[in-house]
Amino acid sequence: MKNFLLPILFLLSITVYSQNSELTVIGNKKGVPAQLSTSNLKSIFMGNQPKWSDGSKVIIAMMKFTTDGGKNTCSKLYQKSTTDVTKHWLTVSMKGVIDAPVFFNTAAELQNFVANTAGAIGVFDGTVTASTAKTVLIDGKTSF
Amino acid sequence: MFIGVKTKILLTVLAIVLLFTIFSLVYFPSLQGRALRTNYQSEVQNQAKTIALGASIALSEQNFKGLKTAMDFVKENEELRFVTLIQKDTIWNTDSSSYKVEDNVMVTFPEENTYSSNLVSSDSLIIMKAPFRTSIMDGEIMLGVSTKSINIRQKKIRMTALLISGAIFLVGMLIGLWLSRNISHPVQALRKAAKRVGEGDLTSEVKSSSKDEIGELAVAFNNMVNDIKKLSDLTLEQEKEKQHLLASQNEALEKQVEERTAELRQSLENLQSTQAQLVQAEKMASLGELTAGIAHEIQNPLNFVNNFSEVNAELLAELEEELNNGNHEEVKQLIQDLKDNEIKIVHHGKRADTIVKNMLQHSRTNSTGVKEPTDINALADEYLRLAYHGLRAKNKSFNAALKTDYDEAVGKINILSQDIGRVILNLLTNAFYVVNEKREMNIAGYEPTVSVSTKKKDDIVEIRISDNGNGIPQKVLDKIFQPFFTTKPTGQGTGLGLSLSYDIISKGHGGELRAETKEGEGTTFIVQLPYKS
Repeated sequence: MKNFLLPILFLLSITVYSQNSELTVIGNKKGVPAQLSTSNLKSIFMGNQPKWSDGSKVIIAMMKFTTDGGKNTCSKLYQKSTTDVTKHWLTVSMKGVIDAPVFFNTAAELQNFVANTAGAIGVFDGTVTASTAKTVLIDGKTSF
Repeated sequence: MFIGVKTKILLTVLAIVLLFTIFSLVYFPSLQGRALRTNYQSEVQNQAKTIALGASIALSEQNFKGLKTAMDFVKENEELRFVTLIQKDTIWNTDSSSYKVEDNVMVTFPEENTYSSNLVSSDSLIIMKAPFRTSIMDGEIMLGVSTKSINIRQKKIRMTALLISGAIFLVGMLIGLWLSRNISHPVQALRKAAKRVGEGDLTSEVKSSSKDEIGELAVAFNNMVNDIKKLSDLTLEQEKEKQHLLASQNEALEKQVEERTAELRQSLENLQSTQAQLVQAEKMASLGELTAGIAHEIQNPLNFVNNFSEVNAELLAELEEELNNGNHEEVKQLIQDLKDNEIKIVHHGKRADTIVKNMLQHSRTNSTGVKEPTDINALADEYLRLAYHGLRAKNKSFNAALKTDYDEAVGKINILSQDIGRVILNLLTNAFYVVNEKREMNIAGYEPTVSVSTKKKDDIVEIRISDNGNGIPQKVLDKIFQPFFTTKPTGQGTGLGLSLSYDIISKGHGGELRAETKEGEGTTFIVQLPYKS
């Protein structure tokens, strides 16, 4: 029995860890500021800011809510369920003030997109691999 | 009410044009408008479905590109009034035994207004809904689109329809006028020509250049008129020949008629002469009847004259003798007797003279024709006696009872006395003839009787002459007044007596002569003469 319980507990601990892992915000070098406050970040990811200060369009990138990163983003950044966030973006999209986020299945894809898209800002859980994207400090921290 | 071909054609074309106009002005725009609205509704419905599909993909796959594209597409529609996202929330009751679905409007674009999920389409707004269902939520997209553009297009359609209708009407009326002109004018020309032909003008000709049935009709009409003219000319020629033939026949006929007329005139003259001779013969016959009676009548006064003359001769001898004897008293008595006898001689002499005069009057061929007041009773009585004695003179064995009943009130009446006397004599002669005929049958107890009576009845005088002979059979009675009809043996009657009597009474005096008879019992002839004839 012990032989089975230990692997199960290990897996559960990994899952919990992964859901609670810290989020990193990266941004394209053009338009996206180097650092943001948590509230600014949330406001941007709620779709309240359509453009950056240089006038470039704000493009949001997120992990799909079916991924751990996506779920983690919902809980940490939005403090809402994935359903509520989806509904939120549905309503925002309907209004048409700002484009809906671009969702990705992997962090690499997300980083690649942000690095190559002007005004793009993305959030994911994991390490930054894209050299052309910059990490946006949140409240002075590289992750939160 | 007369309605000409032209009017009929125009009315027909007008009706057709009006139908087309109504179709293009009312029905066609209405149909187009409905089709336009239906298409537009379908388009809006598709847009709503596209948005719903985009929403469904966005919710299930977090891919909002489709939704964005759809929204961008819809937003391009200038008639868009709103797009509403409605969430269908299932609300369970406390014990989870039943639920209800509530519509929750999540977002509306543009955000200025909010719209109820119960909104429905109207004339100015089209509402279309498209549902979607995902694992996250159930909902529907409600799209509201203004009908302004449709209304504008409908107005355009109506304007176009109005223009087309006007064009159709104008073209239709032009066609109608053209048709009426091309059909009615030749027909009217035909009618006028036919009317002229009917009035006898066979030179009428219809000019028609059309190559259709009307043109053929005009040609046929002209041919017909030509045929009629030829036939008419032929008929006229034949008629002239007939007239000529008829004239020659008439001439021949007139000659024949003249010849026949001359022959007939000659025959008539002969007939009149014969008739006059017959009438005279009848008169002479009646005169013959009278002669014996007259002779008897004259004989009596002559006897008296002779007898009294002989007596007077004897009295004169006695008077001479008494004068010689001086016997004056006797002389006076004898002279008185002589005077009395002389009066009687004169009286009977005058009577004889009257009889002779009457006889002469009766035998006269032509009467004076002047009616004179005549005592009908005296006339009837005189001729009764003349007739009776005339028959007695010829037949001594004949005897008959004479009955008279004269009405004194009759008085005198204006008549041609000799004519009426001839009638009475004729009727009495017949009466005596029939009673004598019956007498000779030796019927036991039979007594021949002839009655004469007169009676005044208002403004007429009636003379009835009756006998108790054998009467007249009905089949004979119907013919007795016909000329030359007689039942007497040949040589004894002319058959003109009653016919002439009838003419004298009816035509000469405006009276009436009729007979009443009963077979085996006798006959009564009734003469009615008006006082004012």
